[in-house]
Amino acid sequence: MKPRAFQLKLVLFGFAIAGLIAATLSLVGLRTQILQVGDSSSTGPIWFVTAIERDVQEFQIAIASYELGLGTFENANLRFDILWSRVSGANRGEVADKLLEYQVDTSVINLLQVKLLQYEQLVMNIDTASPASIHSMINDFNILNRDIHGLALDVLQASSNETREWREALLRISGENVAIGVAIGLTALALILLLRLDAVAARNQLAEKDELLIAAEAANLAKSEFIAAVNHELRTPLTSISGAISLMGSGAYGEVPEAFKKPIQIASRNAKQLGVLISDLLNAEKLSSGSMNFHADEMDLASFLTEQVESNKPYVETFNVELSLNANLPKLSVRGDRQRLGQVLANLISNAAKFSNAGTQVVIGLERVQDRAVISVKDQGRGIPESAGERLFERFQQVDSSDARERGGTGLGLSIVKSIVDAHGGTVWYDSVLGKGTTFYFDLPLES
Amino acid sequence: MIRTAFYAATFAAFALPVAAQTVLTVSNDDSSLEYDLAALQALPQVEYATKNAFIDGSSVFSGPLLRDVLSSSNLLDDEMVRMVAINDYEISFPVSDALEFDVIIATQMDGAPMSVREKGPLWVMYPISSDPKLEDSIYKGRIIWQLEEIIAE
Repeated sequence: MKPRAFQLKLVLFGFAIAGLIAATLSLVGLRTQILQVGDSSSTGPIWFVTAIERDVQEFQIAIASYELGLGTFENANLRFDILWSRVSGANRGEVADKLLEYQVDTSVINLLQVKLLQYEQLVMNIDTASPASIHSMINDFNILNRDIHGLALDVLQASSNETREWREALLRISGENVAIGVAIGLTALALILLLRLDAVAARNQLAEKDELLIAAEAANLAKSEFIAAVNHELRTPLTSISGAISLMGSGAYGEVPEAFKKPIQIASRNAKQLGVLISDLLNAEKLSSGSMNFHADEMDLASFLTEQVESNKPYVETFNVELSLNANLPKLSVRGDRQRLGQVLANLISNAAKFSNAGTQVVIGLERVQDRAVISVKDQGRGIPESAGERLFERFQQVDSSDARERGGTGLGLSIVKSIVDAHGGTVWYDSVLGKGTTFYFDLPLES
Repeated sequence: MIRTAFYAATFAAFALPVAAQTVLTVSNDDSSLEYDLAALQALPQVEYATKNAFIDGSSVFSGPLLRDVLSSSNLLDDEMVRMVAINDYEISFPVSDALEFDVIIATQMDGAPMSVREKGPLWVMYPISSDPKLEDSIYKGRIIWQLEEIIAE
């Protein structure tokens, strides 16, 4: 995955997590707020002030009833005490807290307390009180009751403000609900984007693979077409050229003048080399496409190697290099395609010859290592740098691109060698000391 | 000044009911039981310190368990009873509260009887300080002061 896409995923993931945490924290905060709202919804003080109003009236009625002979002395006193208990509650507990919080003018309650103290003795002795003093008391409480009513309205106003605040709190809560919804929504969105990003990445990878496949198929087709063209357009005319040169050289068109002999020899050799090049190309293609056929025969390696040395000797000698076979070869027998293995040896020998200095030797060896026959081609050439490694056995690889021009070669030889040896269940490898020489080895399973 | 004088008068003991006076009537569908303070104080007493919404800080309340009083009138199987106060306040009271909590009919506050001026002589009380559940405002309405009647609904 591209680094930017990864970063985007990381950001989205972080976003989703943050959204979840925010939503969870908001929910906790919301719960606390709801609890607080529940607690502050008490309507206590309104009820309390209204009750005072009512208790004052009850007291006035009790007094009036007593005066009219309709009520009892005890009831008048009881109503006084009830009013007293109510008024004393104004300065205690939650009611006191609320009145303070509402910041309403509670002077009427203080005044009420003054009046209760003032009339206490009168009420307790109401049976002996003068009607004038009783009337005066009732009037006093009438005036007070108007003020108490005013206080009740103030408290109502304040508590409706509280109710408004309560509504605002509810509004805030619903706002937070929306925020939580948005947070959860964004979290979900981030997760969806994450999933889509993954899907797109997967699709892109698939598309890239498809493109590569198409490109590879196109390249394969082009190569096959090229191979066909090589076969048809090069080999056919080359056969005619080679034939003509060979006829000319053999004197079929009459005595060859001495001055013509050298150019005809050069032309013949180059035509042959061109033929080898074309064969290499075709073989490489056949090997890579798996369409090359192998004919396995039992082979005695010592005699096979002797034959190969003999047939490659003239070519090696053109480089002024001596080709020889180790003495005392063991008698080993393998199953293989004589012609293809001959090609392997020819390729290795011609490589050795090409990269040898004039006057040196190329030596072919054979030995047994456990149940395998190991064949070696040793030269005293320039050697192969370590950096070449296994690349050497890949197609169109040469140690140095200048080699191709200097020595003549397609860069296919060793890949053909490897393919053929692989097909025989063997392995190719080499040892090389730069400046001293190289030995190529390939092994083949012995016939059991 | 006025306030101090007022409270001094509030807590003066002159307004206390006389011992033999009926302070509570408990009625089921068939009969009524009348209690004076001595009768209530003769029942097993429970005492605890608790805060409530109508006092500053906390005070010690003592009196018989509500469930004992309800039991005496066979009211424990009822779902609700009506409670009436001297000041005409009345509510439907869930009997389950009397079973679930140690609700008392307090006859004393801080070791002394309560006058009507001090929300007495009887004040229904919950052990609010020992159970956070009881701080819910629903119980504020059930702390009935100046209780005088319990009637089957």
